Amino acid sequence: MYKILLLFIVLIGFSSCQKFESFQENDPSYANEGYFIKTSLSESDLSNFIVEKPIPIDQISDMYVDEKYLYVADYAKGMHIFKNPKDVKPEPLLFINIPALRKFTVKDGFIICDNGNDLISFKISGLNLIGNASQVTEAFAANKANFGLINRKSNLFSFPNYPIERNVYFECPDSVDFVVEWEKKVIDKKLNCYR
Amino acid sequence: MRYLIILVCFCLISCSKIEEIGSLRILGSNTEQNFFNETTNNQNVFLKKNEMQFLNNSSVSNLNLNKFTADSLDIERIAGSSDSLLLLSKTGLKAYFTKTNKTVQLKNYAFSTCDQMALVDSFVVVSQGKTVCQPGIASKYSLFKINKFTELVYINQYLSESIIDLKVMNRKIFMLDAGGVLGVFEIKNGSELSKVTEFSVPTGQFIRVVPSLRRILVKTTKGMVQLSYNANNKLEKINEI
Repeated sequence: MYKILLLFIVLIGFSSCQKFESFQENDPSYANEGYFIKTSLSESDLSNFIVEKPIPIDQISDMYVDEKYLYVADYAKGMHIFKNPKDVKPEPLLFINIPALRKFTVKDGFIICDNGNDLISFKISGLNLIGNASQVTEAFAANKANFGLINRKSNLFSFPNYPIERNVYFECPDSVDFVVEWEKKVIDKKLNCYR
Repeated sequence: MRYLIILVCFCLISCSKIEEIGSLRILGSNTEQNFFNETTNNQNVFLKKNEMQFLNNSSVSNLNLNKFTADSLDIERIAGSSDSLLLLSKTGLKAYFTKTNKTVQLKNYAFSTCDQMALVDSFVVVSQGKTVCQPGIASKYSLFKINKFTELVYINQYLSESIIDLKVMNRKIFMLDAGGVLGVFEIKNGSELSKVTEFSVPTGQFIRVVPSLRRILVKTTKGMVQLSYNANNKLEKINEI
């Protein structure tokens, strides 16, 4: 009876161990490379709105056009605004730093957009007072009558704290609020998140 | 008894990887990618899992929202107007009627959460195949009709390049395919999708339509292209950034 019990425990032990084997290592998609957090933002970074002179576009995440302006969202950076949207070469006017921006619309003189997990409305009535980029001074940009946050609805969205690519392993974003940039590199530690 | 303890210890040590397996997490949903939407009649709708939030268009800066919650249904994508919306979930398509605040499950034609879709009047266009969800299925787009608000009837289908974005502007259907062709389609005779015109935008990734100006903005790998859809039903390039 005692031997049978021992045999039973051994069998249970080994069959369970099969399930416990790391399937990451057995998964062909768990190749040599994975995604690691490169740049992240904290919740407090999200209120850092700055209007400044035009900068180069990096990664377009959304765009919109009206009669006067062309608006281009730069992923987790902010908004580029161009004048003369019907010209062959629209003229860069200014850049609004919106730290965790992805998508937006423009209505009634306000940018309505996401910023991390929040929905915000941002006043841009100052655009009508600018002729060209050289007129975007610090004092003008900081004037709340021209530009500024109007309203915020917190936690309306879930910011995607994972790479856009699918079937990949990546570093779990446990210690950061918002991952805005991922880096693909050779896996040197266990990656426990998957998409 | 001593052997028993040794064996149990051996099993536990051998199985020490249990912690690693237990901590593997699968993250990401389409809702988080398709969270910011605009209906064909210019109503903004925001998605979060089983919630839809409608932005009140009067004094938008106040961010007044009207919420609809679909019980036990993760909404992955929406299309249509603010009066009647199509909701795509893991269980297929549902019709949502704003006035009654009700959803109706439509017949499922092997839809997946990666499909693109559009609603024009009572016609539904769905593109399927060669996606992450259905990589083995030939890419196509299909035309359906919703009868009596509840029944989804198959009408026609067309093989195509893989469709990566699909939008409606002024009752025309704009489809961007993986080959970089932006096609404009209309529903003819109530039974066919007919191509009106097309324009090549190499490396196009997604589009945004602006109905009030008849413009289409196409994101490309290098930047973006702005097109106009003129009165002669032609697409013309305005500029590129």
